[in-house]
Amino acid sequence: MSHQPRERCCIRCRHFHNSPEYLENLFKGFTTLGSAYSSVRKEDGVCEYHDIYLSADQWCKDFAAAA
Amino acid sequence: MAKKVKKAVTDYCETKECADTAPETPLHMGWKELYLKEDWWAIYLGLGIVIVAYLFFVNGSTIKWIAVTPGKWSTLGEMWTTLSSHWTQYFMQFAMWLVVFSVSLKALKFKLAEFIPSFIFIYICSIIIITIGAWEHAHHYNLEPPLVALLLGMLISNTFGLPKWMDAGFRVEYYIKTGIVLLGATLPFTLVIWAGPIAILQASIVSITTFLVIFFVGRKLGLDRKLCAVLGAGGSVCGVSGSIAVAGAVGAKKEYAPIAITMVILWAIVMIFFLPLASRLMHLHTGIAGAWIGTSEFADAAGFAAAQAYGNLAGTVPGIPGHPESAVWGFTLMKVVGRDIWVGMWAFVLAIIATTRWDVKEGNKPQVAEIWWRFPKFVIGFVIASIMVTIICNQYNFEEFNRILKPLLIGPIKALRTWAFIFCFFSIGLTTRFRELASTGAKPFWAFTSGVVVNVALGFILSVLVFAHYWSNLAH
Repeated sequence: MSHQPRERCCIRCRHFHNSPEYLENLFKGFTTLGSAYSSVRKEDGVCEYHDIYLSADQWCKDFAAAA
Repeated sequence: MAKKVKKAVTDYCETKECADTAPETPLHMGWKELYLKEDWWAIYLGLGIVIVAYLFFVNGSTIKWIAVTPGKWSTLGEMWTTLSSHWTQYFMQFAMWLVVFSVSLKALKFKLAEFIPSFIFIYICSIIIITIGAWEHAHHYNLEPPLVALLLGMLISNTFGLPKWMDAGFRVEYYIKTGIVLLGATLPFTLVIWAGPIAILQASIVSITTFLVIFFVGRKLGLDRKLCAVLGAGGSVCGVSGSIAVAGAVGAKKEYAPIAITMVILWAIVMIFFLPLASRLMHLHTGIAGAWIGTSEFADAAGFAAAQAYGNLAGTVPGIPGHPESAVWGFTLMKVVGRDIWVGMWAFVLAIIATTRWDVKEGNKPQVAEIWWRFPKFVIGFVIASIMVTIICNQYNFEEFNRILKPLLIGPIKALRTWAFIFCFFSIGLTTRFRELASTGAKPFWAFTSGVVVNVALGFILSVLVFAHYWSNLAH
């Protein structure tokens, strides 16, 4: 079993996108009754590799360091 | 946002020792959220206004001059007079909002070249909307400012539309959070203590029941567990914010959040009109109606529109008992205190279930700290404002409160709150573009709708029958 150093979390992965502007454009209607700048979102974002929306401190074997 | 890694890591650590000794760099923005999240800016702005209002007050003055709102009018001549005679006050108020919003939105990395023209449009339309609401016959035609703002906004956005860049000024959540902090200054903290536990009890019963109904109906219809959880959070906890928080916590598919967003928007808009109308037909007490709306609406902004619209009817429409403020108070206690503050807890619990039962694979386990980081921080500002003003009010007797505090301190804060809410309601309409919403499919629709039915019915029973005594006595 491999262990995951914290440097390899999604937030450091090139597949992960979590800027508020990106998310508000991606999720249609988000700003009508919500906001990507809210505390409740934390730093969640989208993994374009797996097509999932997840917490920034997750990780997986497909990690690819951001440039 | 978070720091970039300077050196790319290419291999996994094969031992725990390697993982433990790897340099730890900050994963999250952490306390940078103090200036990178709008919740905190809403606190600064709301509490800033309350503090400035108090400083003026203790020095024998008031901010009443800048907290101007259109006065009642019955003829077009009167309307023109009430506006034109105060134009410098409106201009200064506009300048105040523009400066404080510009500073905060600049910190959030918005383009001021987009925000400023957009906000000018919002402010001019808000003057028109509030002026319409000040017409003495407005309530005969249901021209309540929240509803007018919403309908006008939806009419614009779904007919000729506005350029997309103008969305920079249509910050629904920021405006409503600022308004909620200001609302704290008009809500006695003793009321929060007295009715808060009942609100939490009632909201918990409805939230848990609604979530389970949506979840299990969704599962019966063959939907993925994570989609059921995201829909359930949207219908039971706090609308779009609940759905987004849970979607991230459970690692939902990318398309699930937009489905939940569509469902929340559609039903929230239906409820903005349905709940006040049903309350009016039954002549519900404003406090009871506020509690029902707080239990059965799906989003803060939509719920405030419904609660404020209904509260405005008290004293103007015969047969509607209660104080106008009771509707907003009941709503706030139920929605903000009873439901919003638990969003982090819901996300944490569902994240544990997702990682231990649904999706057992590599990845970090959820941390308890998640509850704090997902906490809707603007609630802190709401509570502080409530405590501050309650302490100030305790130094005056009832007669002095009505004669001095109410017109010079509380009234102006309430007037500015009204502006913030109208900015919000108008922005809801302007950002509701039905043709752009994600299609949901029949199964998510029916799963969510089943929760709506249970939510509205259970909310009615608890607000109107079981806990009516509490909600009809808020003004006391």
